[in-house]
Amino acid sequence: MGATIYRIVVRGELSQRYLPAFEGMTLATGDGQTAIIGPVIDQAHLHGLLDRVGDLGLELVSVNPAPVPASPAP
Amino acid sequence: MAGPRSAASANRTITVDAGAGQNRNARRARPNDRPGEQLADELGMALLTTKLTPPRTSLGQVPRPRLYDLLHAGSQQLLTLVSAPAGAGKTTLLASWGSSRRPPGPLAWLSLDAGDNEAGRFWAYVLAALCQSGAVPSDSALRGLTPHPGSDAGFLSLLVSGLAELPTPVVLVLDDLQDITDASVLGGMEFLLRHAPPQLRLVLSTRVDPPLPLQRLRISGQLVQVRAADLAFTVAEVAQLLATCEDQPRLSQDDLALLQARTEGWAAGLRLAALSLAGQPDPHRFVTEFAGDDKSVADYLTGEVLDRQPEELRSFLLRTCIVDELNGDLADALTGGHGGESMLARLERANGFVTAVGARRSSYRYHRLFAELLRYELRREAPGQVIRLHRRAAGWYAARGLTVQAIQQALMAKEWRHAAGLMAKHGPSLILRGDATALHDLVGQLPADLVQADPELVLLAAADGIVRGDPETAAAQLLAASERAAVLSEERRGRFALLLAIMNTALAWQVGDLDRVLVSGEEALALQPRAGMDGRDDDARAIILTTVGGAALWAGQLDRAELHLREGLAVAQGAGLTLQQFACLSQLALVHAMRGELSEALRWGTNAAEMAAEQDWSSSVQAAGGCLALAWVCYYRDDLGEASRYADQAAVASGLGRQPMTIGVAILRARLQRARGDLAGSLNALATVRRDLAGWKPPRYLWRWLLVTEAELRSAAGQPQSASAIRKSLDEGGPLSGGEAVVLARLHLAESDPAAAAAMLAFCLDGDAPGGFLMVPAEAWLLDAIASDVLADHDRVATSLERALSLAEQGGLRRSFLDAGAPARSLLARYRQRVPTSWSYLDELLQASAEAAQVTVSPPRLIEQLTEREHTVLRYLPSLMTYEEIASDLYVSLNTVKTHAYGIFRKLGVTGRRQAVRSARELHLL
Repeated sequence: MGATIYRIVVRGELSQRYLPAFEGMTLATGDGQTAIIGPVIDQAHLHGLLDRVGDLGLELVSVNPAPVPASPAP
Repeated sequence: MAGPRSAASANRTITVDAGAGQNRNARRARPNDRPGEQLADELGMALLTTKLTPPRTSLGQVPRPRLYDLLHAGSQQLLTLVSAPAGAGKTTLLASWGSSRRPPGPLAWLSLDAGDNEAGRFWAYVLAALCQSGAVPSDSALRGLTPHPGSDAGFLSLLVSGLAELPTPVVLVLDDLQDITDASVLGGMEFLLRHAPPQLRLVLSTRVDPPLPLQRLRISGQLVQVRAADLAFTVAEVAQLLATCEDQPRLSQDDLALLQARTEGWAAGLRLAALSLAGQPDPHRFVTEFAGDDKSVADYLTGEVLDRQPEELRSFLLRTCIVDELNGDLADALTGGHGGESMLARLERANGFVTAVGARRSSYRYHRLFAELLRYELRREAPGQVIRLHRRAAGWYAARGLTVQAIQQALMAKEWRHAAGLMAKHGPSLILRGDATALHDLVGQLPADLVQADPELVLLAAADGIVRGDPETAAAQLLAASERAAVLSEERRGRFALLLAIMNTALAWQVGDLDRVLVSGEEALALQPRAGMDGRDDDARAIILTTVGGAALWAGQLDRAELHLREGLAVAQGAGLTLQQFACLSQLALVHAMRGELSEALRWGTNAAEMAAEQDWSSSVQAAGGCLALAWVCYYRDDLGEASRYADQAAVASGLGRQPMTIGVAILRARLQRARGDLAGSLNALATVRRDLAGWKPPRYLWRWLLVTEAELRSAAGQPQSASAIRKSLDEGGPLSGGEAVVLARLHLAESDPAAAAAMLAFCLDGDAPGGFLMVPAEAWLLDAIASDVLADHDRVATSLERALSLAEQGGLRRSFLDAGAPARSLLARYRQRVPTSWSYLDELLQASAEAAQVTVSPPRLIEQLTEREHTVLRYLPSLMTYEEIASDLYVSLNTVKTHAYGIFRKLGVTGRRQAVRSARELHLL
């Protein structure tokens, strides 16, 4: 699979409670934000994740493909 | 009548919604449902009506005058867009606006969900919402309007024109529009926005801006927007909100401001905060800690709320959040406890965890956002429970006959085998009830290899192919399914064989192969008594009987057709299957017409017409047979104007394409034109049909009927060579039917061969000939009298004429006497004294015949003035645009354009578009 690592940043620090919502991703929190980081296989997958962000009433800050998940904090 | 659009698709013309509220329209039409089903239907209905009622919001019912002002301004215009993220309080605002201040008209409410991404279902709900709102008078065209799946422009223009006739404005609220992603539904919305009459005030509530052309409306000032910033609670509103909640401590003004700032006035956050604040000994500390925390609002508060609940409540919440909507009974099934009903009521009253929905308020829903959070909590805390709970929910729904929901839950439990089993078991009845679309979506959620391996599931996929009009795929799937039948257990094989036969019958209809319809249909009928069909035996039987009856009719096997259709009628009546009942009535009328039994045909046809008017089925496929029957009755009774009106109706109802009805209508029209003296037009009508149907193999007798009619017309037009060529081809094609023999007798008489005519008539009057079409006994006896007259068999003339007259008088038949022209007139005059029983009718016929003889034939003339709308359509005819394109250009339905076009043809005395253009030019109409 040609998965790309994506970094989706939302406002507010999310607890691990949200992990099941973003299966296969890791949550890195800090500075009042959370980076949801992990492999995204295609656009449909990405949109699915973004929909979930919306469903949970989270505020989207940025979405970026990241070459490597470097440091956990944004 | 059930045209070659399959039996399954015949059903779908009335069937709109799959899923939650299965089959509402068909339900409406079922007075005698069996009690077991009724229970399921009521539950299904209860779930359905929840979509059409604004949710009650006892908590957080804060009057918000500044927003009501916005909504008020918006509802003076076409469109109000309420667009804001989840939990912003859109639904609550709209519900409280509807109940607190008077919108400019009745409020029609529709809560959408992802299941509404099918045009037929979507528009059916819109119609239901409108009709339920109180804005639609009982005589409005909107009532009885039925969208087809994949709703067409015709339906939408009818919807628009129906709205334009409403006496008052109506405010249509579409909540959760973000769930609608289907292009054809959105296309329909766009059409509605473009053509909406001033009565319609649309309020769209959505999480994301809809892909609709809003810019135009914005510029023309027809759009008012309510966005997240507007919806955010002010400090004063936060205070009011908290005051409506139970057990709230008093907060200082500073704390209120802090809370508002931390939540940014986000309604869902405030609601959760109120839950956390309930009974807090030190609210100031709570607010300060909350404000100082970096967690996301919902995350922080969910944790707070859940941690503060007693274990019993916490566990109740986590176990019941897995379904979208629940009542006390379902809650008990999920928790394995008791008192779910009172728990839900308490949750609603005390703290707004849930919202009561539906007209009877006996169902509850978690706030969507809260449900999401609960579900994640459940998966985190007790992942093993999730599947168990879905399984329980599936069992609960299945036990109540809510098949679609049961299957959905089984799929969510990832219980593929179980889901597949439910589909295989209930799929057939879902298809028979017209829910093939829902089923298709469900089958699509199964792993593909599982479907491929299971012949029952492949069969269901084929049904979907038939309903969607994809016969090639369906045929391949049926073949694949039958090849794998061996893997089925003994007890399932019977039912599988029956379903396979039904599907083959439906498919054969669709491709117009009547012989195969008859074979597969009889196979299905023979299999049926042995195969239990999940309480839907009658539905299946009525549909097969209607289909096979229709096939027998067009195959010229009138007695067999009558037998099946009468049984089908009885079964459909007993089971309350109104549409099947209608289809049987309509086709029975045609059976009688084809036998020349005019009074019976009129009686059945009138019954069918009344039912069509009642149910608004006049332009449904099923109506065509009845219309054609009435057209023949009018033709034989010499009411040519009415006859062509009914013929037009039959043509519109049956649609175009390769189907028996096309031939039936063409022959009638040819005879009508002939009766009007337009022999050339008449021949042209038949030639056109022959050309259009090239490459199709229509039913044998029907095709021969077309040919023999053409032979007669060619002979009359002075083309004896083509006439005899056609007859030669008929001789080679096997035995004659009675109907053909009558036409040939007429032909022999016209060619001065009375002996050949008499032989033909003896053949059909002896009663041994297969009936075929239009073996009208009165006509046959009349021709026999004429032939005997030429042969100087005077006694036979008298008896035959007497029979002809008494039969004609019974049925009100006149046309055959007029068609026979001078020989008939002379006969009637000479034999008047010898047929004393029928003097008055004889005199009437003599008079009519004498009048008809004055009719002279003239080149292009306008039989009747065109209406303004016909003129409009006429101007399009020289173009290359299809009727569909013309319809969309004029913003009217396809049927309307066709009706106008046929009206133009009739008034110009022509049969086709090109001819109409030529005549119209000659008459300087173009």
